[in-house]
Amino acid sequence: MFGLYGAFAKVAFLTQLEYRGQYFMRMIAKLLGWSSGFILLVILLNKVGPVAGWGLYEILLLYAFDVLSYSIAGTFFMGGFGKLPRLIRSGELDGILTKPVNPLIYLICTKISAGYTSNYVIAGAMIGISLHKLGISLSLYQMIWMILDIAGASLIQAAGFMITTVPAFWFLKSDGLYRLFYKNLTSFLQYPLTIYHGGIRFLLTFLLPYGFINFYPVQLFINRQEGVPSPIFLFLTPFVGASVFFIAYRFWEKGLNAYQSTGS
Amino acid sequence: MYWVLIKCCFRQQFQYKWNLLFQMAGDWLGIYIKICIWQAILNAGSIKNINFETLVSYSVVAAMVSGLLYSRVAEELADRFRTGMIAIDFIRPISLKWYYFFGQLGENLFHVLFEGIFIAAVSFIIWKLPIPLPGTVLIFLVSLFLGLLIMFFIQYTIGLLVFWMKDGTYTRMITDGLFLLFSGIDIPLWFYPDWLRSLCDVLPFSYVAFKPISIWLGMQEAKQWQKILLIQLSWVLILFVAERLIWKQIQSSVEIQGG
Repeated sequence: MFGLYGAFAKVAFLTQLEYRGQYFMRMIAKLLGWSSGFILLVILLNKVGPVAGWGLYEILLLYAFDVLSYSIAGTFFMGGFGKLPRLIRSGELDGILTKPVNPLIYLICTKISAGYTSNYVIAGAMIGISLHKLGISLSLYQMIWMILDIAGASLIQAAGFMITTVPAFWFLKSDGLYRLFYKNLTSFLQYPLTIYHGGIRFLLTFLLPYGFINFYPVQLFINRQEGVPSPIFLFLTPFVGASVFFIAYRFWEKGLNAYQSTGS
Repeated sequence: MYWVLIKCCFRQQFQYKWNLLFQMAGDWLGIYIKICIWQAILNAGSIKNINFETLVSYSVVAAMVSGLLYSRVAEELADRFRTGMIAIDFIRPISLKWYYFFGQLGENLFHVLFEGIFIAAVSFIIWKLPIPLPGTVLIFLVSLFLGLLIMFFIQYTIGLLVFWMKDGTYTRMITDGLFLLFSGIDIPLWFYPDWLRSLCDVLPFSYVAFKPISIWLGMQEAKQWQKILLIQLSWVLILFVAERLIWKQIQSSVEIQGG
């Protein structure tokens, strides 16, 4: 069974690599698009010094966690869920439902995106450089924990995509929801959450747990405990990731059950 | 005729009330984030010559400007190239470029008038931001309009590269990336190191965002407003010629391929 899904994913991935020139141009565009955020951060912090006590490399580490987990989630979920409203309206989803495979995995594998590889490089390099500049060397235990954190953070990001786009099953459109509850709210993550009002921190911790994407887990590696209700929050990311993803999956199933074809 | 187009796009937007509401909330969040960041930076105390009001004004006006700059022209061009519609555009009596420009302007004006102005008014009252004299506002508006033209030409010209790049999302990413870096829309150019700032002065992007906003704020740059307007005009001209050349190039290539 896994071989089958793997084959779907491989085909989807390779078709995007087919046109070398085009793929190369895409990489340049993406490199420019994503590194501009990092560059602006470096420009600003070089001029103004630490923000709320956080130095340049600590904030870069935050940002790199966000970009990396977003890109991992994007590779698997952006293709399918970004287009979900369109798949529903065009009736293409009906085609997926008739296949004798799990619709979610099918959707993920056939719409897998090859466009995020440049982000892995940028964000990975940023994490490496930041840790190096901060004089932090990770022990094996910490390294495993960082991988778990990235995995958990990616699941949170993926759950964010899914939960904000699945309402398209009922309303056929969901881009407003997606923009506000995913795009706009995750833009808080670029800086340490301590610079915002306590209410925002509460919202991003308990209601929409985006804070666990970078703010809480990163503090473990740079020996900080700011704006943390309890030290245990630094270790929660993998568990939060798994649970919100489970909720998102159930929500997707619910949407699928409520789904009525548009008949187009 | 173009006026009718602006009106149509205006009306269309009324249909999406919820979207509008969400978008407004999102825009508020954007400004709130910016303000928190400025506050945190000023609290750190290393910036002395710029005060909080200036930074907030900058961010609010910049948000309005970027609201006016939103454009889907790259994707639309990509669609037209893919479907072959572009062949019809070659023979249409109405120019594709101006059709997009005024269509988008209508849509963007709607957003800025209905939510942008509201957001701006509230922020100006909350933070007691200074409003410039009517004369300055007029110069600002002229400069802003020229800036919009410059940006549209850039978007359109880079959008035409889709003919070689095939995918509109990426032509737009390039424009957006360059704009973000060199225009000062996110971070005022005061914070840039000198060498980068001189680079920004040579590129057209800062004439879309930073320079017009500086005029509004009455910063040093504003004293040379005649010079700014003149450079903006030259950019419009240069980009206009560049776009014509690329368009010609595409037209002949399409003929070679037989459409």
